[in-house]
Amino acid sequence: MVKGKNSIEVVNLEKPFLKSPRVCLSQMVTLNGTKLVNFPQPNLRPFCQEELVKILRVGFCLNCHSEKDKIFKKWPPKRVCPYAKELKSNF
Amino acid sequence: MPTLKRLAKTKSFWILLGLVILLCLFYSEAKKDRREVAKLTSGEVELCITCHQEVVPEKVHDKKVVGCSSCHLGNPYTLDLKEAHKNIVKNPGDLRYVNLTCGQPGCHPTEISKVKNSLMATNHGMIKRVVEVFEEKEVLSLYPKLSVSQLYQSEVYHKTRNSLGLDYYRKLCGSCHLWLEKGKLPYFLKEKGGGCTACHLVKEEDEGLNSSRKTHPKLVRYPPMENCVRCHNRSGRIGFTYQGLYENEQGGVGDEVWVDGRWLDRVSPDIHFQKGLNCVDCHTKEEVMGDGNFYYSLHEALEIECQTCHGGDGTTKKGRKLKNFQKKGTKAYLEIKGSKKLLLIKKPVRVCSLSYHKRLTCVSCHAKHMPDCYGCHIKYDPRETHLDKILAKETKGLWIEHESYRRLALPTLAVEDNQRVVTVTPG
Repeated sequence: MVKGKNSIEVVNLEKPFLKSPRVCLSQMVTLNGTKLVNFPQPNLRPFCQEELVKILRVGFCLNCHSEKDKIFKKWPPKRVCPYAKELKSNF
Repeated sequence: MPTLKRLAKTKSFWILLGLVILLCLFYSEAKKDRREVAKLTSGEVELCITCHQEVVPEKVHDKKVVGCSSCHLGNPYTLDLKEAHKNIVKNPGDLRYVNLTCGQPGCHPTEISKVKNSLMATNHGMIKRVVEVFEEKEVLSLYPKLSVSQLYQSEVYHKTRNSLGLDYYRKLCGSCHLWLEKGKLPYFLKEKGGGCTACHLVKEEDEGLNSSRKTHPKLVRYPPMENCVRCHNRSGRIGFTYQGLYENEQGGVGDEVWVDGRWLDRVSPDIHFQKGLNCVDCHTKEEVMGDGNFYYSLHEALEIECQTCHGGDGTTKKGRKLKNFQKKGTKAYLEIKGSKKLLLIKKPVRVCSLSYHKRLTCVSCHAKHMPDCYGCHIKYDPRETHLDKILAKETKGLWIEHESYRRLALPTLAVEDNQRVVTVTPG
């Protein structure tokens, strides 16, 4: 495990093969949305920064709420978790 | 003379004469060669079956119906060994002469023209990708629809002989296509290729050494999974993952060994495999054998989706109806093509249609695992030789594949067309 940017822990299986601990061999995109790999199909892309923020923000909720918690089903799409505001500013 | 005249007037003389003539006729008939001329049920003469006693296992290609020469060519009108076997072909499915055999009028002519344009025969997607990775745009500008059958032509070979991308394809990928001559390559590769027979031929179980009955290889309408996996076991390893096999990089106690020496671990298989579904139960004839169009990649050719059956009415995204999809009341069933067994198709649950899941494809949640290999790199040694699968001989330049590590994990996700979240894997 290495401490990544924004204090998000990244499992780094590739450590012995890499010079930089910030990039993994399996990584397709950086946290700021920069694409690291080419796809064979032109219509494919990795998640963009906005999508990554949304996905990772759920991880913030999972510290307290189980993944089957009702709040995930009822959550209005545009509502921002008050606890995640600080995390959002980091991105 | 007067006595003869007298005799001719008597009845007994004529009876005796008649008996003598009858006796002579009987004798000459009995001396004749009584062997019947070998004919088919249609009445056509087929002398091959006079000598060849092999039993054809499937009824549709019964020897009495199609004979031998319809498929294997040769001359069916002679019993002379040399003359009868002139221009004979061992594998009628070979695409080089399939128009005279499987594809002749009255048999499967439409299928043959489609198959020749299918990706399994052209390999265009693979060739294009490899050439693009090697940044050899001039090859594709010279041959925009470059297919594997062209690589067999000496003109194309000479014009592209400096292409490293094509050299890589010929040596590492060139054994998985329908134009490959069956049995031409050594080791496990001899089982690959052969046109129609690459998929539709199955080996009959040996009846034992004591059996004098010679069996003809069996041709099946629906290819078994083993035939598909013979080729579809690299890159995304779909043939392995589907049946619950994971290619381990170093192997261990209890691991299975694939024909080419790779180690395989048993992991949990796909639910469709557990239910007894074969590859061809979902993948349509048009997807696999081609629909006549020339496709540039596999994704263009594929037409089934999970929702074709799960929540759908059995219609693919190209508007074709699955022949083995059945609806009875509110329930939908899929028939297993081989055993004719009906399987109840589950409908998507409520959570699948929730608004925040609308971008997710089924596999992005339901795929249990996917093999990923990372840090793949290749080394080229121009001093050594490597088997060119197209030329079927060793040529200069050895390709060596390396990888950093492999893992079996939840699939990596990516976005397709800015709309759908799909699974991706390196390879």
